[in-house]
Amino acid sequence: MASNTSLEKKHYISHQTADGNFDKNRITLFALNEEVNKRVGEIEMHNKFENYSTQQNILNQNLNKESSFKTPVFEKNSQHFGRRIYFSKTQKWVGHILEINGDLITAKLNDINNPTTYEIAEFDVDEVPPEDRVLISEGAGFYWSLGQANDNGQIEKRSLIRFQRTKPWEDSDINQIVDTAEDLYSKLRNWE
Amino acid sequence: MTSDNLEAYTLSIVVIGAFNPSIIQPFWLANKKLIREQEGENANVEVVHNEITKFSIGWASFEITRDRFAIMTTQEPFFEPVRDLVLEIFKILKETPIKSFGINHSKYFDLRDQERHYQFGNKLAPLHNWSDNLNDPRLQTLEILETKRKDGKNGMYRIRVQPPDIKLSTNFGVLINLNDHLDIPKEDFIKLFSENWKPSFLRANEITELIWEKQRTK
Repeated sequence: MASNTSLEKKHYISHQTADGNFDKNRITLFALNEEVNKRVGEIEMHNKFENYSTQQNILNQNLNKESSFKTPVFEKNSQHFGRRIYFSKTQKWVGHILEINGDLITAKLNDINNPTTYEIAEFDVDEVPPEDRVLISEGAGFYWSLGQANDNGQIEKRSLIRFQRTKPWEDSDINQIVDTAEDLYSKLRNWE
Repeated sequence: MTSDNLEAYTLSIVVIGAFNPSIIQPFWLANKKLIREQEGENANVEVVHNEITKFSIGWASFEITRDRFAIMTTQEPFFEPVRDLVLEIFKILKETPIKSFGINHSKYFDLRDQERHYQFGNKLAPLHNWSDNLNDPRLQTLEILETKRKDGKNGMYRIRVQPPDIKLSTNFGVLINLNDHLDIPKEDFIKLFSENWKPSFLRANEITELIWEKQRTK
């Protein structure tokens, strides 16, 4: 045990920078490498076990218990979720605030799936998640969705409001819009 | 059987280019006010490293390597926030060289019974073509590639029909994957991505409706 500690200490000392501080990135990298090397070592040992299972020195190790060794399973989709929620029958609107009157917000809602229709709706500030309330202002955009959430088999109706988090327009954005408008205008003139 | 049998719809956006994985992490997103502070604090971080960054913020998960940026959501209400997030990230990291991107739609349908499930495959790839040599043939996976895009843009469109990789209400489900891939020759990513967002959803809907229409024909 003592030797392990001194070994670890030795590794950390080797990652000290010239001014005596630890280089965090190098220590993190070292820790990651150590885990990877450990795992590679385990896999190699397991392979050895399969090929030379009669060798007593390998049988004596913990690895001879096949149940204690799990071969890593790689999924096609490498993205993992601890908890998956799926939605169905979702109705979505994009809203823009028209007016704020005390705690009452009046907004224009455009159906995302059918953008030709819009509705005017009123809702209370309390319905906006606390961290989004700082984004409430006239003209601010938000998304509102209604749907059936399947949370690990539990089906429930959910209503979600989320304010848009986009940075203010820059000159280049405005120039791009002007260019697009001019392009459309020239096409319309040619059409005549 | 119609598209009303849609049980889940997930979306992933994959961007191919040259990235610095250690930059895009929950703290950075919260600091840039692209996500809520609490979402940044409660993020499930698997790894942040120069080679790979992988984390989840509840409604979206990220995986960034040196040549690939991927964001995925299983929750339909967050499709637009995911789009905004991608746009804002690359507006900030505007010098990032990007070669191509894909908007990948995964639609999970429940066909409810064995006969409908069998007929679904039979309509897409008539199974009598195989019955001379195979006993009780079934369609497992089908992949169709559009090499020259209908809209004339550079890229390709791929449709894959396969068994679902999630648990649906019954065991008779199908997953239709629609991979809308665009190469970026000259135009900038922000413009092309924004312009292609709505058409990508319209086309994904058109194709799935067409598949269901084919199911109804005798």
